Amino acid sequence: MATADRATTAPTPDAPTERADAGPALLEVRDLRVEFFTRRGVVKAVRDISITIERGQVMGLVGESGSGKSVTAQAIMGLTELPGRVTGGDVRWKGISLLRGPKADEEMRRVRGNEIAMVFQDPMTSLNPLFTIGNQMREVTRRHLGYSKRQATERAVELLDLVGLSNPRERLDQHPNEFSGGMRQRVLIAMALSCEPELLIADEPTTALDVTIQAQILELLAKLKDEFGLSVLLITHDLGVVAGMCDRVSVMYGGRIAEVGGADDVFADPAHPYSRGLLRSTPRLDERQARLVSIEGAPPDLVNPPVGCPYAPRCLSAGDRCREELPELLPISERRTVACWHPFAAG
Amino acid sequence: MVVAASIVVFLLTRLFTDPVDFVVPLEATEEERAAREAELGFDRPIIVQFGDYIAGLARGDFGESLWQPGRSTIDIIGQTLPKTLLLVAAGMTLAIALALPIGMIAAIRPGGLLDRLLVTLSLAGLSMPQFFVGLMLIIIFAVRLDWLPVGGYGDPSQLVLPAVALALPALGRLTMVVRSAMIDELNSQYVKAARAKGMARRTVIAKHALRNAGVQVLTMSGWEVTRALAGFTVVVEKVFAWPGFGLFALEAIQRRDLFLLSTIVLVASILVVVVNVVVDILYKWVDPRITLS
Amino acid sequence: MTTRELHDIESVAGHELALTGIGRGERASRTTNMRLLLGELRHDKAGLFGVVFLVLLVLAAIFAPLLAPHDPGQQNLVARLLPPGWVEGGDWEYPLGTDGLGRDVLSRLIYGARVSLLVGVAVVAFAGIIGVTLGVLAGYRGGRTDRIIMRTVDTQIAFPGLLIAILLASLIGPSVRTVILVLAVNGWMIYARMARGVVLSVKETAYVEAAEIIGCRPRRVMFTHILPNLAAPLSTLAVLEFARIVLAEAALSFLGVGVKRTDISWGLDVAIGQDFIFSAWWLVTMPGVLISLTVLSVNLVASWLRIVSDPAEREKRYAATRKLPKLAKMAAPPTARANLATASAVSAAGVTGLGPGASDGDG
Repeated sequence: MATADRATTAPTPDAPTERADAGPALLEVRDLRVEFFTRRGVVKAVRDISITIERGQVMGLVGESGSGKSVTAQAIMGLTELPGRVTGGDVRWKGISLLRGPKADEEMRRVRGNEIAMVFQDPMTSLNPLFTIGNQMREVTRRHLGYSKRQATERAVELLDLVGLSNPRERLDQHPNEFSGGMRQRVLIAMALSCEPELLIADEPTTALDVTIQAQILELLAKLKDEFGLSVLLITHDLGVVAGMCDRVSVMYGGRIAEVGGADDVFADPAHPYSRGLLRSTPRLDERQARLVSIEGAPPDLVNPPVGCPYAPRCLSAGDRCREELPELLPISERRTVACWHPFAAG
Repeated sequence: MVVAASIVVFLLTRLFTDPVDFVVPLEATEEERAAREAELGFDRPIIVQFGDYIAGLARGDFGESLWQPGRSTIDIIGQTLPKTLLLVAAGMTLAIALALPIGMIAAIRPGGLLDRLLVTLSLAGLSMPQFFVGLMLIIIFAVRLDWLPVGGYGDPSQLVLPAVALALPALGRLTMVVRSAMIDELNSQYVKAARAKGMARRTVIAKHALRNAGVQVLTMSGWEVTRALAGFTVVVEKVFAWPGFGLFALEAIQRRDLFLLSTIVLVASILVVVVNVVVDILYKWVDPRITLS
Repeated sequence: MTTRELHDIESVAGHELALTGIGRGERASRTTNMRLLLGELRHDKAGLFGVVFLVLLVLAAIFAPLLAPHDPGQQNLVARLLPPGWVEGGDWEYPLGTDGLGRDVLSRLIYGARVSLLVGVAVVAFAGIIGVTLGVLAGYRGGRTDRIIMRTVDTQIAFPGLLIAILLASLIGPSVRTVILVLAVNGWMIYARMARGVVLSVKETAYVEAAEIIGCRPRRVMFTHILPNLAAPLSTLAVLEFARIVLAEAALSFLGVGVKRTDISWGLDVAIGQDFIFSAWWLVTMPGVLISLTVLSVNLVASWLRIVSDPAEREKRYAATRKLPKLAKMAAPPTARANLATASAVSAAGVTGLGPGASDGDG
């Protein structure tokens, strides 16, 4: 089905940096805008951001809370809820719009949970406490793949085994309260993989877990990525997680993307002052660091965002232009795009 | 609790009034009075009377009605209670069956036009005194339209209006509860997760959210039923002359038939306990996390 | 009406507790809260209706002798069972008609507001004072005091309340005072539960613990925090209880065990009108509608209070009642143009497989 769709769409010429080959990107978010209509005013949570994810790629989306990471993820999945609303831009899956055009809704319903799956931050509340694990797992394959109950059960057993749960068959009849947090996240990951998705959006999948469990879950994700050639959009505020797993990373700040580049490159040599600040405020094990430096100031007010660069008020190297003019996300080298008037030189 | 209820009723009726006043004719002489008092055992100290009463209960003897001498109180209840149960069953089934879909529809878009309309209607429903609902139904459907009988008991058509009158305020209250429970559940993370799995909104509402809202809805439905059983049918029964338990309770109170009254309160308390046990069992069925104690 | 109904109220109040919550008490100063409340009222037409109706009702009750066109007790056997003025055979002398003794229905309604409001306010006050005192005591003292008080509450709540109320009322004899006493005795438990809940949660808050650690007397800290935290849930509860009491008074009077036959009460008037249900519909309808409108107004005010105290719900409501912008047209000229160009190039080249999916594109 997917291949047929691909044949029908024109290639997108918006080729950021390294992709010159034909065919639309797996996921292309362009100029996405999400706003929250509160009585305090319109909160511009995500402002015209673009993200492209290629097949087999793991993209990290980092930023502090309130930077718009999760809002972006939910908008991609079509799960934005009042008072929030997607007010601009487009999300294209293999070249087909999930937001625009007469068939967008139908396409979104077909794709969601099937070709694009999502894992949430809090495994404790993401499962319905009143239904068995089996019931909730079967739901997915029965809906998208039209499995019979028996087929769906077999698939569920297979998946639980895959994510490393013992006695998968017995597990199916248990309720979520009989599982620990780490086990629940495994179940949720298994559930997300039910229809062999091509893209997994993981929204802070380890934040709510103990450190040792975090490592296990990340290991599992890495294994799945390698085994199935899964593309992943990994949303996190933990740079260590990004460094370990991601091919590319997008840094978000104040509803905008500050910097995009190869994960290793960005870590080795951040070009945006915010990326640099973020990196310096994160403890690292592999490097000896004199001390952690916190970023002074507070994140911007998204009801009345600054005219210029959202980071300017906190930025040490900000000039007049930074405060007056919004920097576009532009390539500064072959493999790096940055939205900054005074980027650090990066290779 | 059942014991506490009977003690309180027993003491209230003995301490506040002299029950004999209500059973002897006004023109009775002092001697006639004393004789009657002795016959009924009211001349003994209260504690003895009470002990006697409890001992009777233990033997399954609920005492004889004062108002209808010669009839055992439990016998009167045996005749009136099924009628009330029928009324409660009909009314509550109606209320619960309607409240679920209406509350769910309202919860789909909180604050939207449909929601505001349904909320206003529910509020109007729960704001009307039950006797007024009953009388309006009579005026419209029995007097004006002449579709249904004014009251009484026997024919199935006579059940319609009392059942609706009993259901309406409960419907208003339950709709509000279903609505707010559904809104809570629809905001929850597992609903979002289920949507992310690609489940249709309709499936998520009807399966996931409804079952979870069920616990709250069940609690409230249980309360509505116990409330009706514990004497709240009295107003409806009075309006429609429905010869049930509540109407007899009212009679018993006005005639100071304290034996009948004690038995009525006793039975009502037992019913409340029974309903609570049933609700507990249903909880377990809805929510596997709950363990019965 | 009586104890059973407490359960409904209780769940609402429980919800309330969760929403208005502990810790929100100190979130904003009282004045900002007041401004917020009134600001919200402009958006909430139903709430506004409730407030206006209640204010008018209170004024009517206070100035009843000035407003009522007739003496509510004055009989006029010539003008018996007159229909309302706008109905054929009606007389505008008696705008809402007359009852079986020729008494003016409108005047009786105006005077009847006095009993309803008096009973409502008095019962809420008495039951509230008893309940809050016992509840705070139970929560604060804990241990045996707590057990005794809460056991009493539980037992009384499980009672067939209406029957007990009728029994009590018929034992004491009908009068306004009886109704107040009976309903207060029957209605204090819910306040006790709520107050105890608030005290217990205040006890566990960080500032009380902190005060204990630094050697402050926790009692003082607690009491300065209990009152503000009690205010929000208590006000909503009192409003809802008021509605319940108005209904309960009407029911007791309707059953003939409430106020005296000579008193003027809406519930009693409905009971009297019941005898004329075939011939004079207005006798039942007018007081019935008035009771309903009063209770409805109180409920509307309560739901307005509830929405105000729940920020999340408020935002949702705000967004749901507003026209939100639609998804903007794609304003990305370079890409869009290029996209179109490629698309047309592809079709021009006659590439097959341009299925229905091809129409899916930019809006």
